[in-house]
Amino acid sequence: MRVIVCLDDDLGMLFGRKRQSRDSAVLEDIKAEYGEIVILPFSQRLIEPSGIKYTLKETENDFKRGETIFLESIDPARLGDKIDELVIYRWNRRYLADMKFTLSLADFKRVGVKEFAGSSHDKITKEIFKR
Amino acid sequence: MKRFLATVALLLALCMSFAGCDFLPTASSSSSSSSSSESSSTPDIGSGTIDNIPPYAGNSYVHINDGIPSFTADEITTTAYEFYSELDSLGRCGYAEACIGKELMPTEDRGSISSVSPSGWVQASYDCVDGGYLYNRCHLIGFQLTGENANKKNLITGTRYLNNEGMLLFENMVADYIRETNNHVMYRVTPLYAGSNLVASGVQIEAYSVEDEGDGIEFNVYFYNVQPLIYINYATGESRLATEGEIIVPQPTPDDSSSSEDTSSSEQESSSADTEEHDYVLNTNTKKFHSPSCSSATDMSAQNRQDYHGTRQGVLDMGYEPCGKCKP
Repeated sequence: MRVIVCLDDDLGMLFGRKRQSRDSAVLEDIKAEYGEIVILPFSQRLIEPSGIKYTLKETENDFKRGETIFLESIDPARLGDKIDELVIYRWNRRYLADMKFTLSLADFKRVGVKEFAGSSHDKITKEIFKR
Repeated sequence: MKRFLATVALLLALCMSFAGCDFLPTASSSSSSSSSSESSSTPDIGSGTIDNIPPYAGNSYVHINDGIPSFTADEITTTAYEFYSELDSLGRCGYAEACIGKELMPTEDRGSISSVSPSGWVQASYDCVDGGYLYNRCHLIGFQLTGENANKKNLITGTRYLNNEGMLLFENMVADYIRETNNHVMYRVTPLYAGSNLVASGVQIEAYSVEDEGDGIEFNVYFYNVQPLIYINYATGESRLATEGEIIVPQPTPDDSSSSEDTSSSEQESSSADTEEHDYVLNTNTKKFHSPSCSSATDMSAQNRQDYHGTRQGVLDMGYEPCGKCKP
C-alpha cells in the first residue's frame, strides 16, 4: 500500500489530537497525483471539502494492499511492512508534537523529491520512498 | 464580555495579593465541546487542572483539563479583538486575550522590542543556552498572531526554552491554521506567578477555533518557564548554572522574603530518584532518548545513535526528551 503523511521538521504529526498544520496546495497535489484515497474518520472534515475522492475506513485494520492511504492520526510504523510506498509532505516548519512518525526508512529508497509553494507555507517538500 | 474581563481581573488581583496562591483559577465552565473524533495515542500528556501542574519532567508543556479551554459560550465570537491586562503593582503582566483572525495579523516585519524590560529582566548569557542568552522578551500573544510589537503589557521575561521550544511552536500551529482557513481563533495567554515572584513559573495558553467549533484548534496547555542546566531565582530573575543533580524547575512555594542569594530555596531541590545511573540510547537527530531495548533504539541509524550511561536527569539536562513509547 501507498501511505501519504505530512511531517514537521521534528517528524511530528499530531499535537493534542490535532493535526499540526494543513495546506490546500498539498490537497491539490494529492488530488492531481493519486485520484482516490482511503482515510480514517479523523481526516474526513479536511478531505471532504477538497473534492478528493475518498473511501472512509474506521480503523487501520480495514486497510488493504494496493490502496493509497492518507494518514494523519496514527503512526505509519503501526502498518509496518504493509507499506510499499511512502509519500511524505514536509512542512519545513516546527510545531509542537506529541505523536511522531517513527517508521524506519532503512528499507526504503527515496525515488522522488520536489518542492513547491504552499498556500500558507513558504516551501513544502514532497518526498517519495519505495521499499 | 466586559463582566467576564472584570471578573478575571479581580481574580488576578486577588490571587496576586494572596501569599501562597500559586496559580490563577480558571473559569468554571467549559462550553467548548470537542468535535474531534480521533483517538490517537498522545504520549507525554499530563492532565488535570491548573491547580495541580506536575513538576517539569523534560517536556516543555503539559495539557490542562484534557486540552479543553475554558472559553464560555458568551465569550466566543468571530469579531476580532485583543485585550491586554494592565501591569500589576509589581510591574507584572496579567493575562492577554484575543479573537484572532487574518484582520489582526501583521502585514509588516517586527520592530525592535529592546526598549521593554519586563518584570524580572536580569539578562545573563550561558554557553549552554541556544543563542547564548537565557531570557527572551517573550510575547504573550505572539507577534505573528496580532502584530503587537513593543507592548509592555504583552511581554514577559521568558527563557529561551519557553520561547523557542514551547510558545513559538504553538503559535506556528495557530498562525498556519488562521492563514489557511481564514477562520478565527479565541486565544488567551495567562502568565502564572508564584507569590510575588517577578518571573513567571509558566504560561497557560488556551485556544479554540470558532467557525469549525474546535475541530482545527482546541488546546489548553501549560508551558514551563524553565531552562535546562540553569538555576533561576524566580523571585528576582537572577540565575546561575545549576549544580549536578539540582532540579532546575520552579516548584512554586512562594516565599516573599527570598533573596537573590537564597540559592538553597525550596523552589529547587535535588531528587535522589534522578541520581541512579542507567544505560540510555540518544537519538541526536530527534533529541529523544530511549531504553536500549526500545524498538526505536534498535531501529535507529548509526549516524543518529549515541549510547549514554548516566542519570535520567543528566539526559534531560542535555535537552533530550523521553521516548513516549518506552518511557525511559
